Amino acid sequence: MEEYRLHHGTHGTPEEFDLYAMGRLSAGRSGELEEHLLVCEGCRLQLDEAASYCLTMRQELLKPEAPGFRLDWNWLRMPAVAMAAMAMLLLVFAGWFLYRPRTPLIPLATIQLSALRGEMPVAAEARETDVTLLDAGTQLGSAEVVDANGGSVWKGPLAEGGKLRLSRALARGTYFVRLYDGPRLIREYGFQVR
Amino acid sequence: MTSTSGVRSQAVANDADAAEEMTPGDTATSQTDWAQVVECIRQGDQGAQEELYAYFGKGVRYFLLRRLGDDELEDRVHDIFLIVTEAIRNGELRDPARLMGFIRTVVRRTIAGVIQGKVNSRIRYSDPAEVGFSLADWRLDPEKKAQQEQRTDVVRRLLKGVSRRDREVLRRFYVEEQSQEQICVEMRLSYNQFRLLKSRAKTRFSEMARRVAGRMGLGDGK
Repeated sequence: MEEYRLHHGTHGTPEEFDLYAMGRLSAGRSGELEEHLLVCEGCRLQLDEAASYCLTMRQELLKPEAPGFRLDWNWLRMPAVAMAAMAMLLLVFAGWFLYRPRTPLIPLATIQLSALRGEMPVAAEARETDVTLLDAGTQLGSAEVVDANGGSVWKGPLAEGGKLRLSRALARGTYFVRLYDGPRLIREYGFQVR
Repeated sequence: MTSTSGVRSQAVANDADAAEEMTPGDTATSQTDWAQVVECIRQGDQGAQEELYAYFGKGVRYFLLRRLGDDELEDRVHDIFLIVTEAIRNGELRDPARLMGFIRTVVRRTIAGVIQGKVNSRIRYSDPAEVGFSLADWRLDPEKKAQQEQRTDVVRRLLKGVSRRDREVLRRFYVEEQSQEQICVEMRLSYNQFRLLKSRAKTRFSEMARRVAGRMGLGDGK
Protein backbone atom coordinates (compact mmCIF):
# COMPACT_ATOMS: atom_id res chain seq x y z
CA MET A 1 0.00 0.00 0.00
CA GLU A 2 1.47 3.33 -1.07
CA GLU A 3 1.73 6.03 1.59
CA TYR A 4 -0.35 9.16 1.21
CA ARG A 5 0.09 12.53 2.94
CA LEU A 6 -2.73 15.03 2.93
CA HIS A 7 -2.11 18.34 1.25
CA HIS A 8 -3.68 21.16 3.17
CA GLY A 9 -3.64 23.54 0.29
CA THR A 10 -2.81 27.21 0.61
CA HIS A 11 -4.13 29.76 3.06
CA GLY A 12 -6.75 32.16 1.80
CA THR A 13 -5.93 35.79 1.15
CA PRO A 14 -7.97 38.62 2.75
CA GLU A 15 -9.43 39.26 -0.70
CA GLU A 16 -10.51 35.65 -1.03
CA PHE A 17 -12.04 35.60 2.46
CA ASP A 18 -14.12 38.67 1.55
CA LEU A 19 -15.31 37.11 -1.67
CA TYR A 20 -15.97 33.74 -0.06
CA ALA A 21 -17.91 35.36 2.79
CA MET A 22 -20.10 37.08 0.21
CA GLY A 23 -20.47 33.89 -1.83
CA ARG A 24 -18.62 35.40 -4.77
CA LEU A 25 -15.43 33.37 -4.88
CA SER A 26 -15.12 31.14 -7.94
CA ALA A 27 -16.42 27.62 -7.47
CA GLY A 28 -13.00 26.10 -8.06
CA ARG A 29 -11.19 28.23 -5.52
CA SER A 30 -14.10 27.93 -3.07
CA GLY A 31 -13.69 24.17 -3.11
CA GLU A 32 -9.97 24.40 -2.44
CA LEU A 33 -10.48 26.96 0.30
CA GLU A 34 -13.20 24.90 1.98
CA GLU A 35 -10.93 21.85 2.06
CA HIS A 36 -8.23 24.02 3.58
CA LEU A 37 -10.66 25.45 6.11
CA LEU A 38 -11.42 21.93 7.27
CA VAL A 39 -7.94 21.77 8.76
CA CYS A 40 -6.77 25.37 9.31
CA GLU A 41 -7.95 27.14 12.44
CA GLY A 42 -6.17 30.38 11.54
CA CYS A 43 -8.04 30.70 8.25
CA ARG A 44 -11.33 29.87 9.96
CA LEU A 45 -10.78 32.80 12.32
CA GLN A 46 -9.89 35.08 9.43
CA LEU A 47 -12.98 34.02 7.53
CA ASP A 48 -15.18 34.73 10.56
CA GLU A 49 -13.62 38.15 10.81
CA ALA A 50 -14.09 38.86 7.10
CA ALA A 51 -17.69 37.61 7.13
CA SER A 52 -18.60 39.77 10.09
CA TYR A 53 -16.91 42.81 8.52
CA CYS A 54 -18.60 42.33 5.15
CA LEU A 55 -22.01 41.88 6.73
CA THR A 56 -21.70 44.92 8.98
CA MET A 57 -20.31 47.02 6.15
CA ARG A 58 -23.17 45.94 3.88
CA GLN A 59 -25.79 46.75 6.50
CA GLU A 60 -24.36 50.19 7.15
CA LEU A 61 -23.87 51.01 3.48
CA LEU A 62 -27.47 50.09 2.81
CA LYS A 63 -28.59 52.86 5.12
CA PRO A 64 -28.95 56.25 3.44
CA GLU A 65 -26.05 58.57 4.03
CA ALA A 66 -26.77 61.07 6.80
CA PRO A 67 -27.56 64.45 5.26
CA GLY A 68 -25.53 67.45 6.16
CA PHE A 69 -22.30 69.14 5.41
CA ARG A 70 -19.26 66.95 5.14
CA LEU A 71 -15.74 67.84 4.25
CA ASP A 72 -14.48 65.91 1.29
CA TRP A 73 -10.76 66.24 0.83
CA ASN A 74 -10.51 63.50 -1.75
CA TRP A 75 -10.52 65.94 -4.65
CA LEU A 76 -7.12 67.13 -3.44
CA ARG A 77 -5.71 63.82 -4.63
CA MET A 78 -6.34 64.82 -8.26
CA PRO A 79 -2.96 65.97 -9.66
CA ALA A 80 -4.30 69.10 -11.42
CA VAL A 81 -6.18 70.23 -8.35
CA ALA A 82 -3.22 69.50 -6.12
CA MET A 83 -0.92 71.54 -8.37
CA ALA A 84 -3.37 74.45 -8.51
CA ALA A 85 -3.70 74.37 -4.74
CA MET A 86 0.07 74.36 -4.40
CA ALA A 87 0.41 77.34 -6.78
CA MET A 88 -2.27 79.20 -4.81
CA LEU A 89 -0.44 78.52 -1.58
CA LEU A 90 2.81 79.79 -3.09
CA LEU A 91 1.08 82.98 -4.25
CA VAL A 92 -0.39 83.60 -0.84
CA PHE A 93 2.99 83.00 0.76
CA ALA A 94 4.74 85.33 -1.70
CA GLY A 95 2.12 88.04 -1.08
CA TRP A 96 2.52 87.71 2.62
CA PHE A 97 6.30 87.81 2.29
CA LEU A 98 6.29 90.98 0.19
CA TYR A 99 3.69 92.85 2.17
CA ARG A 100 4.27 91.42 5.58
CA PRO A 101 4.23 94.01 8.37
CA ARG A 102 7.71 95.15 9.25
CA THR A 103 8.92 96.08 12.69
CA PRO A 104 6.08 98.05 14.22
CA LEU A 105 6.62 101.81 13.94
CA ILE A 106 6.85 103.95 17.01
CA PRO A 107 3.83 106.22 17.38
CA LEU A 108 5.62 109.55 17.30
CA ALA A 109 9.08 110.89 16.41
CA THR A 110 10.26 114.41 17.06
CA ILE A 111 12.94 116.30 15.29
CA GLN A 112 14.24 119.85 15.60
CA LEU A 113 15.64 121.54 12.55
CA SER A 114 17.76 124.64 12.07
CA ALA A 115 18.81 126.33 8.89
CA LEU A 116 22.48 126.06 9.84
CA ARG A 117 24.66 124.06 7.52
CA GLY A 118 26.00 120.84 8.90
CA GLU A 119 25.06 117.23 9.24
CA MET A 120 21.45 116.43 8.47
CA PRO A 121 19.46 115.58 11.56
CA VAL A 122 17.99 112.08 11.64
CA ALA A 123 14.48 111.11 12.69
CA ALA A 124 13.32 107.60 13.51
CA GLU A 125 10.62 105.95 11.39
CA ALA A 126 7.31 106.65 13.08
CA ARG A 127 3.61 106.78 12.39
CA GLU A 128 3.70 110.55 13.01
CA THR A 129 6.54 113.03 13.13
CA ASP A 130 6.63 116.33 15.00
CA VAL A 131 8.96 118.83 13.36
CA THR A 132 10.12 121.98 15.06
CA LEU A 133 11.85 124.65 13.02
CA LEU A 134 14.09 126.23 15.63
CA ASP A 135 14.88 129.42 13.82
CA ALA A 136 11.48 130.03 12.32
CA GLY A 137 10.89 132.59 15.03
CA THR A 138 7.39 133.85 15.29
CA GLN A 139 6.74 133.65 11.62
CA LEU A 140 3.52 131.85 10.83
CA GLY A 141 3.97 131.26 7.16
CA SER A 142 3.24 128.12 5.29
CA ALA A 143 5.48 125.11 4.97
CA GLU A 144 5.92 122.22 2.61
CA VAL A 145 7.73 118.94 3.13
CA VAL A 146 9.16 117.35 0.04
CA ASP A 147 11.09 114.15 -0.51
CA ALA A 148 14.47 113.83 -2.17
CA ASN A 149 12.82 113.96 -5.61
CA GLY A 150 10.91 117.11 -4.81
CA GLY A 151 7.60 115.28 -4.46
CA SER A 152 5.30 116.97 -2.00
CA VAL A 153 4.77 114.99 1.16
CA TRP A 154 2.96 117.52 3.26
CA LYS A 155 1.80 121.11 2.85
CA GLY A 156 0.16 123.40 5.38
CA PRO A 157 0.39 126.36 7.71
CA LEU A 158 3.13 126.43 10.28
CA ALA A 159 1.92 126.35 13.85
CA GLU A 160 3.08 128.60 16.60
CA GLY A 161 6.69 127.99 17.69
CA GLY A 162 7.59 126.83 14.23
CA LYS A 163 5.91 123.45 14.68
CA LEU A 164 4.29 121.14 12.21
CA ARG A 165 3.03 117.58 12.53
CA LEU A 166 3.39 115.05 9.73
CA SER A 167 0.51 112.74 10.46
CA ARG A 168 1.61 109.98 8.08
CA ALA A 169 4.56 107.66 8.30
CA LEU A 170 7.57 108.71 6.26
CA ALA A 171 9.53 106.08 4.40
CA ARG A 172 13.25 105.98 4.90
CA GLY A 173 15.02 108.70 2.93
CA THR A 174 15.90 112.37 2.79
CA TYR A 175 13.31 115.09 3.16
CA PHE A 176 13.30 118.87 2.99
CA VAL A 177 11.05 121.35 4.78
CA ARG A 178 10.46 124.52 2.85
CA LEU A 179 9.24 127.57 4.67
CA TYR A 180 7.30 130.17 2.68
CA ASP A 181 6.28 133.67 3.33
CA GLY A 182 3.43 133.90 0.94
CA PRO A 183 4.73 132.58 -2.34
CA ARG A 184 8.35 133.38 -1.42
CA LEU A 185 10.64 130.62 -0.19
CA ILE A 186 12.49 132.00 2.75
CA ARG A 187 14.20 128.93 4.29
CA GLU A 188 14.85 125.27 3.59
CA TYR A 189 15.69 122.61 6.18
CA GLY A 190 16.82 119.06 5.52
CA PHE A 191 16.47 115.85 7.54
CA GLN A 192 16.66 112.14 7.10
CA VAL A 193 14.44 109.31 8.20
CA ARG A 194 16.20 106.05 9.06
CA MET B 1 -4.71 -6.28 10.93
CA THR B 2 -2.85 -4.93 13.93
CA SER B 3 -4.06 -1.49 14.95
CA THR B 4 -1.46 1.22 14.79
CA SER B 5 -3.84 3.80 16.09
CA GLY B 6 -1.67 4.74 19.05
CA VAL B 7 1.19 5.80 16.85
CA ARG B 8 -1.15 7.39 14.36
CA SER B 9 -3.01 9.23 17.08
CA GLN B 10 0.17 10.97 18.07
CA ALA B 11 0.91 11.81 14.46
CA VAL B 12 -2.61 13.03 13.89
CA ALA B 13 -2.51 15.18 16.98
CA ASN B 14 0.74 16.68 15.79
CA ASP B 15 -0.73 17.29 12.35
CA ALA B 16 -3.77 18.96 13.79
CA ASP B 17 -1.59 21.23 15.89
CA ALA B 18 0.57 21.97 12.88
CA ALA B 19 -2.49 22.77 10.80
CA GLU B 20 -3.70 25.20 13.43
CA GLU B 21 -0.36 26.92 13.67
CA MET B 22 0.12 27.38 9.96
CA THR B 23 1.00 30.90 9.14
CA PRO B 24 -0.25 32.59 5.99
CA GLY B 25 1.83 31.65 2.99
CA ASP B 26 2.76 28.23 4.22
CA THR B 27 1.66 25.07 2.50
CA ALA B 28 1.56 22.48 5.22
CA THR B 29 1.46 18.82 4.44
CA SER B 30 0.16 16.17 6.79
CA GLN B 31 2.75 13.72 8.01
CA THR B 32 0.14 11.05 8.64
CA ASP B 33 -0.13 8.21 6.19
CA TRP B 34 -3.76 8.63 5.30
CA ALA B 35 -3.70 5.64 2.99
CA GLN B 36 -3.17 3.53 6.10
CA VAL B 37 -5.87 5.38 8.06
CA VAL B 38 -8.38 4.84 5.25
CA GLU B 39 -7.43 1.17 5.04
CA CYS B 40 -7.83 0.76 8.82
CA ILE B 41 -11.26 2.40 8.73
CA ARG B 42 -12.24 0.11 5.87
CA GLN B 43 -11.34 -2.82 8.06
CA GLY B 44 -13.44 -1.47 10.94
CA ASP B 45 -10.67 -0.10 13.13
CA GLN B 46 -12.38 2.09 15.74
CA GLY B 47 -9.13 3.92 16.56
CA ALA B 48 -8.72 5.04 12.96
CA GLN B 49 -12.27 6.41 12.94
CA GLU B 50 -11.48 8.38 16.06
CA GLU B 51 -8.40 9.76 14.37
CA LEU B 52 -10.43 10.85 11.41
CA TYR B 53 -12.86 12.57 13.78
CA ALA B 54 -10.07 14.19 15.76
CA TYR B 55 -8.48 15.56 12.63
CA PHE B 56 -11.50 16.89 10.77
CA GLY B 57 -14.01 17.33 13.61
CA LYS B 58 -13.27 21.01 14.29
CA GLY B 59 -13.47 21.94 10.64
CA VAL B 60 -16.73 20.05 10.08
CA ARG B 61 -18.23 21.59 13.20
CA TYR B 62 -17.12 25.02 11.99
CA PHE B 63 -18.97 24.75 8.67
CA LEU B 64 -22.12 23.43 10.29
CA LEU B 65 -22.11 26.10 12.96
CA ARG B 66 -21.45 28.81 10.41
CA ARG B 67 -24.27 27.84 8.10
CA LEU B 68 -26.83 26.19 10.38
CA GLY B 69 -26.17 27.47 13.87
CA ASP B 70 -25.75 25.19 16.85
CA ASP B 71 -29.07 23.34 16.54
CA GLU B 72 -28.40 19.59 16.68
CA LEU B 73 -24.77 20.36 15.97
CA GLU B 74 -23.21 17.32 17.58
CA ASP B 75 -25.75 14.97 15.97
CA ARG B 76 -25.00 16.41 12.56
CA VAL B 77 -21.24 16.13 13.04
CA HIS B 78 -21.74 12.54 14.09
CA ASP B 79 -23.94 11.85 11.05
CA ILE B 80 -21.34 13.25 8.71
CA PHE B 81 -18.58 11.05 10.08
CA LEU B 82 -20.91 8.11 9.94
CA ILE B 83 -21.49 8.75 6.23
CA VAL B 84 -17.76 9.12 5.60
CA THR B 85 -16.75 5.96 7.44
CA GLU B 86 -19.59 4.01 5.80
CA ALA B 87 -18.42 5.18 2.40
CA ILE B 88 -14.88 4.07 3.21
CA ARG B 89 -16.08 0.67 4.46
CA ASN B 90 -18.24 0.16 1.42
CA GLY B 91 -15.26 0.81 -0.77
CA GLU B 92 -16.68 4.02 -2.23
CA LEU B 93 -13.62 5.90 -1.09
CA ARG B 94 -10.42 3.94 -1.63
CA ASP B 95 -8.24 6.78 -2.79
CA PRO B 96 -7.09 8.78 0.28
CA ALA B 97 -6.39 11.76 -1.97
CA ARG B 98 -10.14 12.17 -2.28
CA LEU B 99 -10.70 12.15 1.49
CA MET B 100 -10.78 15.92 2.12
CA GLY B 101 -12.87 16.55 -0.95
CA PHE B 102 -15.24 13.80 0.07
CA ILE B 103 -15.68 15.14 3.61
CA ARG B 104 -16.29 18.60 2.18
CA THR B 105 -18.92 17.23 -0.19
CA VAL B 106 -20.71 15.42 2.63
CA VAL B 107 -20.69 18.58 4.74
CA ARG B 108 -22.10 20.61 1.86
CA ARG B 109 -24.80 18.06 1.15
CA THR B 110 -25.74 17.93 4.83
CA ILE B 111 -26.04 21.70 4.98
CA ALA B 112 -28.04 21.80 1.75
CA GLY B 113 -30.32 19.01 3.04
CA VAL B 114 -31.02 20.83 6.29
CA ILE B 115 -31.73 24.09 4.49
CA GLN B 116 -34.01 22.32 2.03
CA GLY B 117 -35.81 20.67 4.95
CA LYS B 118 -36.37 24.04 6.61
CA VAL B 119 -37.62 25.56 3.38
CA ASN B 120 -40.05 22.67 2.90
CA SER B 121 -41.31 22.94 6.45
CA ARG B 122 -41.87 26.64 5.93
CA ILE B 123 -44.00 25.87 2.92
CA ARG B 124 -45.94 23.21 4.81
CA TYR B 125 -46.50 25.26 7.96
CA SER B 126 -47.64 28.76 7.53
CA ASP B 127 -47.75 29.44 11.26
CA PRO B 128 -44.78 31.70 11.88
CA ALA B 129 -44.54 30.56 15.48
CA GLU B 130 -43.62 27.07 14.28
CA VAL B 131 -40.93 28.15 11.88
CA GLY B 132 -39.99 31.34 13.60
CA PHE B 133 -36.24 31.05 13.55
CA SER B 134 -33.78 31.99 10.91
CA LEU B 135 -31.21 29.58 9.55
CA ALA B 136 -28.63 32.20 10.29
CA ASP B 137 -29.74 32.51 13.88
CA TRP B 138 -26.56 32.27 15.90
CA ARG B 139 -28.22 33.03 19.21
CA LEU B 140 -25.77 35.71 20.16
CA ASP B 141 -24.77 35.73 23.79
CA PRO B 142 -24.61 39.12 25.52
CA GLU B 143 -20.88 39.52 24.89
CA LYS B 144 -21.19 38.68 21.19
CA LYS B 145 -24.16 40.99 20.95
CA ALA B 146 -22.17 43.81 22.52
CA GLN B 147 -19.30 43.11 20.12
CA GLN B 148 -21.66 43.19 17.17
CA GLU B 149 -23.11 46.51 18.30
CA GLN B 150 -19.63 47.83 18.76
CA ARG B 151 -18.69 46.72 15.24
CA THR B 152 -21.74 48.43 13.80
CA ASP B 153 -20.83 51.60 15.61
CA VAL B 154 -17.24 51.41 14.40
CA VAL B 155 -18.31 50.88 10.79
CA ARG B 156 -20.73 53.79 11.07
CA ARG B 157 -17.93 56.05 12.28
CA LEU B 158 -15.55 54.66 9.70
CA LEU B 159 -17.98 55.48 6.91
CA LYS B 160 -18.45 59.00 8.22
CA GLY B 161 -14.74 59.54 7.77
CA VAL B 162 -14.48 58.38 4.14
CA SER B 163 -15.08 60.53 1.11
CA ARG B 164 -18.22 60.17 -0.98
CA ARG B 165 -16.22 58.58 -3.74
CA ASP B 166 -14.67 55.98 -1.45
CA ARG B 167 -18.06 55.27 0.05
CA GLU B 168 -19.45 54.76 -3.42
CA VAL B 169 -16.67 52.27 -4.21
CA LEU B 170 -17.37 50.35 -1.00
CA ARG B 171 -21.11 50.43 -1.64
CA ARG B 172 -20.65 49.02 -5.12
CA PHE B 173 -18.52 46.20 -3.76
CA TYR B 174 -20.35 45.26 -0.57
CA VAL B 175 -23.93 46.12 -1.49
CA GLU B 176 -24.26 46.08 -5.26
CA GLU B 177 -21.83 43.15 -5.40
CA GLN B 178 -20.26 44.52 -8.54
CA SER B 179 -17.09 42.85 -9.74
CA GLN B 180 -13.76 44.48 -9.06
CA GLU B 181 -13.26 44.91 -12.78
CA GLN B 182 -16.54 46.76 -13.22
CA ILE B 183 -15.90 49.01 -10.24
CA CYS B 184 -12.39 49.85 -11.46
CA VAL B 185 -13.63 50.72 -14.94
CA GLU B 186 -16.64 52.76 -13.86
CA MET B 187 -14.90 54.57 -11.00
CA ARG B 188 -11.68 55.01 -13.00
CA LEU B 189 -9.52 53.18 -10.51
CA SER B 190 -6.57 50.92 -11.02
CA TYR B 191 -6.82 47.51 -9.42
CA ASN B 192 -4.20 48.56 -6.88
CA GLN B 193 -6.11 51.69 -5.94
CA PHE B 194 -9.24 49.62 -5.46
CA ARG B 195 -7.44 47.02 -3.40
CA LEU B 196 -5.74 49.71 -1.28
CA LEU B 197 -8.99 51.53 -0.68
CA LYS B 198 -10.62 48.34 0.56
CA SER B 199 -7.71 47.25 2.69
CA ARG B 200 -7.26 50.73 4.18
CA ALA B 201 -10.90 50.72 5.26
CA LYS B 202 -10.49 47.27 6.75
CA THR B 203 -7.30 48.18 8.56
CA ARG B 204 -8.90 51.32 9.91
CA PHE B 205 -11.87 49.26 11.03
CA SER B 206 -9.60 46.79 12.85
CA GLU B 207 -7.70 49.61 14.57
CA MET B 208 -10.86 51.41 15.66
CA ALA B 209 -12.52 48.18 16.78
CA ARG B 210 -9.46 47.22 18.81
CA ARG B 211 -9.39 50.62 20.50
CA VAL B 212 -13.10 50.53 21.31
CA ALA B 213 -12.88 46.93 22.51
CA GLY B 214 -9.96 47.89 24.72
CA ARG B 215 -11.97 50.71 26.25
CA MET B 216 -15.02 48.51 26.76
CA GLY B 217 -13.02 45.52 27.97
CA LEU B 218 -14.41 43.30 25.22
CA GLY B 219 -11.30 41.30 24.48
CA ASP B 220 -9.43 41.78 21.22
CA GLY B 221 -12.28 43.29 19.34
CA LYS B 222 -12.70 40.35 17.00
